[in-house]
Amino acid sequence: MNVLPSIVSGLGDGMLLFLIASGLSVIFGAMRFLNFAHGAFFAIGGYLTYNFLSNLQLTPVLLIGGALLAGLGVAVLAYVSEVVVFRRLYKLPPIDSLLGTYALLLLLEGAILVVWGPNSLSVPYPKGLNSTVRIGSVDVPQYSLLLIAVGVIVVVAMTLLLYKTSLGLEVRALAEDRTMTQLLGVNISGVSAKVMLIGGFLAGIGGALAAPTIALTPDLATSFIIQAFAVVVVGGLGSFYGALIAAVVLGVTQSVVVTYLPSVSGIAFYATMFAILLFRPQGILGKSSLDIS
Amino acid sequence: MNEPTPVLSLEGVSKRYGGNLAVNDVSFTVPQSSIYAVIGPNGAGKSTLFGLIAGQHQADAGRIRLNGRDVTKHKARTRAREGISRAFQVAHVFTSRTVEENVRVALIAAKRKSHVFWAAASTIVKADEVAVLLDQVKLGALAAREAGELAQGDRKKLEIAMGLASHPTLLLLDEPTAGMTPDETVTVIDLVASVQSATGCSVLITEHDMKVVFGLAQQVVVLASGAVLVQGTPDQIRNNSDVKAVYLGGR
Amino acid sequence: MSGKLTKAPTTGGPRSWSRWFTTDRRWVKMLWIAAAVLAIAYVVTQATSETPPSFFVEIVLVQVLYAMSVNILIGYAHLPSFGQAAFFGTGAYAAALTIQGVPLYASLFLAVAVSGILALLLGLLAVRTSGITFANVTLAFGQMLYLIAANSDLVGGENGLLASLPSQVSPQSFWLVIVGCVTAGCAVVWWMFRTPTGETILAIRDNPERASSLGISTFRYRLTAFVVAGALAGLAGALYAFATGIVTADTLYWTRSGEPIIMCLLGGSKKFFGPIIGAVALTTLLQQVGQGSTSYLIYVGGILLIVLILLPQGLLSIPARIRQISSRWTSSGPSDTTKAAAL
Repeated sequence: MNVLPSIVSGLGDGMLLFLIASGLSVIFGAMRFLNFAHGAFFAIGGYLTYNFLSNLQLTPVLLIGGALLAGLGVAVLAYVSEVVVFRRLYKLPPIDSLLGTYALLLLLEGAILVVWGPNSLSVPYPKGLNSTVRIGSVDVPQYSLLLIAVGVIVVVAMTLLLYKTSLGLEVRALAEDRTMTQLLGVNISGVSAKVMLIGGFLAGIGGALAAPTIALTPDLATSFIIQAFAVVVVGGLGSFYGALIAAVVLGVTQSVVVTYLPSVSGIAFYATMFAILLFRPQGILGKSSLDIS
Repeated sequence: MNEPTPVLSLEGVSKRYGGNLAVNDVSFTVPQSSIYAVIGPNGAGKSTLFGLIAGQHQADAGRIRLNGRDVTKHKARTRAREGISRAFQVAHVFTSRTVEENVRVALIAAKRKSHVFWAAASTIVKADEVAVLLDQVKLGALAAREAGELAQGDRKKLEIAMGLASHPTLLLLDEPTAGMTPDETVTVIDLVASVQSATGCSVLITEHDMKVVFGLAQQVVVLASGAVLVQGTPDQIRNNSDVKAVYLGGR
Repeated sequence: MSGKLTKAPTTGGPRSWSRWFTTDRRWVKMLWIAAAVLAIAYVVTQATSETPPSFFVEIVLVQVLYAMSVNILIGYAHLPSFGQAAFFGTGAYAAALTIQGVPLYASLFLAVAVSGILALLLGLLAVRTSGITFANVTLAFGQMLYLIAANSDLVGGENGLLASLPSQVSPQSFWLVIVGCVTAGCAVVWWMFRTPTGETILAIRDNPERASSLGISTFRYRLTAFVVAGALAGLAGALYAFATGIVTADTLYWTRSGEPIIMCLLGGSKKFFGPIIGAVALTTLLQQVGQGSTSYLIYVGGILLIVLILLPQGLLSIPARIRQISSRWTSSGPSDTTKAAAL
């Protein structure tokens, strides 16, 4: 048995995780703020895609278009959440502000329940991406290749954003030395709103692209956010590339374990997270000084 | 006649951060029942040196002896039990607890009774024991106040009171008058002098304010770029041209 | 400043309701006595009546104990655990597994012991971290237990286990067991924070660096808090198992860890009675809305958000808030108007 197919599909899953976690990670770096509601952004991305595409003959182009639209919709939602809710939470003690985002997560999960109902919905794989492709002597899933491609595009785009724009400069400065950056007159709520917009966009796309691979149920938000937290913390709080590495490590571990030891599949994910955090509490690329207590 | 064992002796103590030597081969001793001061321009390594002595940082080289015992490898918590009490530059107090409760926790820790869960804290340490310490730093009137509500000067006094709970042989005061009004500064100087003479412990302070240093210290150690530049009595330091150069050049 | 105003002697003038509210605190004492008398009367009627005691009130009491145990971490030790369901669920499973072989009190004791030991083992590893890392380590641990329980036939997998009371324990006597255990659990927390151990934990919460400068081992006392919280959560879980009669893997799921934290913050995590008020308020609210209804989560999330933003110290801070606001408009002398003008 060849391990390559499960590695490729693990990479694909890892990229989905990365799409959610990258936004969380950048926001944490800039704002020292971990956001439970990000899981709901992801779920709503998936549900919006269902609304946009459920009656159409799904092609790859349509899916990408739907994903971009869903991303925009979620970005608006994230922006509104920042202005209406998060802004009031920044000044609270860390535990309270974390609980505040948890409250918003519950609120949005409730909204999903009201709007889309409790039953599970599904989005089909688009035509042309629903089977496997032969690489050398093994078959790998086509859809995973699409996810990996999207992941690479996002990494490149975010790198450009972080290192070539003034917003990126401000975000990195905030992550490096918050007090100093504030003294230099950077408008924190402006940065926060923009970063939330981008993070929401990525989470929305993530939800849209995840939609064919999972059943859309209202508890999607609570189950995915925990995995996204795992990626952010294992990668190192506030480290964008740490989140990338962690998403790949956790995604591939999970996928390989599912193939060879299906009985412990879910546990392996949390066991990996648990072990990495105990041996390296600051995460793979993190600085311990960033944690809040 | 034998010299009595000094309370603190540093032998070639160094600490490196990244590529910089924050503390470079520092040696001096603090005798029993004395007040010494460490001065130097910003970034001279005073706070790092205090961290090394109290155990918040570990020295990369050299030896630290406390009352003759080698404590170089000991953690902050252990050194506290061996006789060091430290007051921080920004006063560290238990902000949500009252002044009385702050001192009580310190006294309980000093008696090694922190683990007791079968008796109330107020029976392990009686109110009059707390009152004695609070009177010593003249905080008796504020006993029922929350420590978080205190002015900076009173927080420093509270910190000193907590430090005295364990009957330390060495009291480290990091910039005891930082951020204080001139009036508060005068009270703290008087307080340090009276506490020292009442308890007989040794006091090592770092200080920016030369008035404080020259008013209190018997010996002054001048640090520059992590190393000892010169050591002497306040008068010797005042007239030393190297010290003047460091201060004028360093500013 | 507002704190001083309430202590200032009353300077003539009519005794307005707000002044009575702020300076004369006898009504508070009377309220407490009345509440205690009513509570005892209620406990006795429930235990002596023919009809079984109210299931809903039993669940409220269990939630009170669970929230109280979690508040040791959230309010007193500042260890933001998102994995307390691990101990709640372990207690529930331990009770369900042992009740077939041993009497009720032994089963409850074993539940406390097993979850306490589990908390000790996890704590030895997890308490070395802090902040968000600690929250995630405990979360990962809880999720591991959840997945193990959901997939293991030994504990019934997805279906769970039955936890039926022995026939010689009547619903009325089980009611007294619940009241006794919850009261005892709350008393433990109340007592703990009056002893040197508890005061040391509070000191570490405020300033760990100062605590270690006093020669205190921050690790040891944080671990103590974690173990006591885990053991009491286990007791709450065991009572929950017997009250509902069934234990499923859901008792270990991470949102179960979130609920008691919500209760603590809702009531006010800095006060002893905070988690009690929070647990009663939230459980009652959810009962009114109905667990199955679609708007359920909107209520929970919305109320929590409003409380966090408008009353960050919790429901128990309402009297203080009223005092603050009323003292602002009762003391509107000329000096205040000039101050206002200056602003």
